Amino acid sequence: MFVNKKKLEEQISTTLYDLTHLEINTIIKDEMSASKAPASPRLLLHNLAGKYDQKLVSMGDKYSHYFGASNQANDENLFRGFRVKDGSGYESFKELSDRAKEAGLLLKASKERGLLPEDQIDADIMMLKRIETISNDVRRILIMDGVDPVKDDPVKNATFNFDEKESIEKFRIMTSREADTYELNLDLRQLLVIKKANDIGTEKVVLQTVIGMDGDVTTRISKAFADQPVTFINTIHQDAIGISVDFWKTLINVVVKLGTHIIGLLNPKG
Amino acid sequence: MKNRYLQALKAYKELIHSGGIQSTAEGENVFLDIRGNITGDILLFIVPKNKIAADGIDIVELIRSDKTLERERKVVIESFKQKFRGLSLLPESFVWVLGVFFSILYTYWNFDSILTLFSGKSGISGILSLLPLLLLSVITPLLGKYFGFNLLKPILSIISLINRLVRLIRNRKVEESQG
Repeated sequence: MFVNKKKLEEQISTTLYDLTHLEINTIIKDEMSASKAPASPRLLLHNLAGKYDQKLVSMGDKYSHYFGASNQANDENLFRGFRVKDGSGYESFKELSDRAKEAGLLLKASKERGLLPEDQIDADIMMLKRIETISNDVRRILIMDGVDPVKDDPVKNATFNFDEKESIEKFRIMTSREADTYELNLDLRQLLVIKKANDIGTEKVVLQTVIGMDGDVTTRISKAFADQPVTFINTIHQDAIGISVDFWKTLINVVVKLGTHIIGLLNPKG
Repeated sequence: MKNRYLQALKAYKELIHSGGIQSTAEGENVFLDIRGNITGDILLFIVPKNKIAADGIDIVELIRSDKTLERERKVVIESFKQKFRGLSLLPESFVWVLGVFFSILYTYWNFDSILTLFSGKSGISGILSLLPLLLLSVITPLLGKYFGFNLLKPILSIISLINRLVRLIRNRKVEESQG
């Protein structure tokens, strides 16, 4: 009972946070992907896991000059290493989170000892932190009651393991009706979290503005952009903020009008 | 007005199909891709037409040398703005209909008082009886600021329900076509 109450409180507070904050991100992507993001949450997660693994491997390659060649037996070098869980279930994201955490600690320690060049290292540490945090968020969603039908069903659990790529491949070729029985049951907020994580992936966020209903406005600017600002990017980011705030304002006006109507109706007869 | 409803319909259709709204534009060297969701969050992507890493091209240079980008920015922002306006039309219309409904009820319940007010016979007590309404009208916008977005929750639920229904119908069709 207590746990449920706590969970409900947590859900309400996170939903309230989402609904009372606006976030505008301006991102520079390396290249345009030709394929559309899948609609299935399971496949979205698989996309995301693939992006994170790729990033960890490419970052490992980038620093291999300083740490030596990739060696899966060496835990310290895990972020460049071999992917044990190649699916996108709870354990796969745990592995990604652990790899990112280990890699972040390794980079931080090496930076402090002056073993690595200063440029880019902070951005890479932030990227590893993003991989770790979002992987943990995904794990939190996957472990929730009722989200993963495979976890809750012993028969499905015995035949399907979404921490393995083979299960994902089988899921991909299922008929829609069959796939629906294995699909994650996410509420809209959880789906938005996963969609956004997949959209941003491992791309560079150059400008981020978070606006709270209490009036707090926070803008984060990447170091690379701050060193070399581009007027066009600033302008288009401002445009996006304007649209987002206008949408918000309209909705608030709608609620205010609704409140006024209700209060007008409840007013004691004069 | 008709156009606004058509826009709203298109925006909701896109929202149901893809879970968000999107506008894109293409300059000489870069693509602009703006994506938004029902809670007002926006992701703005700037993507070079050719892969940066492979060619060693600097994105900043690509943006600065793109002569059509400023025009494309205006186009993509305007299109995106229209879509968001479309999304807000549904709750606006909903409240308008409720407003009309409440006004009719209010008039029905307070018909005698309204007649007295129009006849110019209302005294201090009549004005005082309107005071709570005035105070509540001041408080409502403040409360609305905190709880305003909760109105979106039923709308989100309706969209989610429609999405599930569409999926169900589509799945049935797939199943039927497979015999």
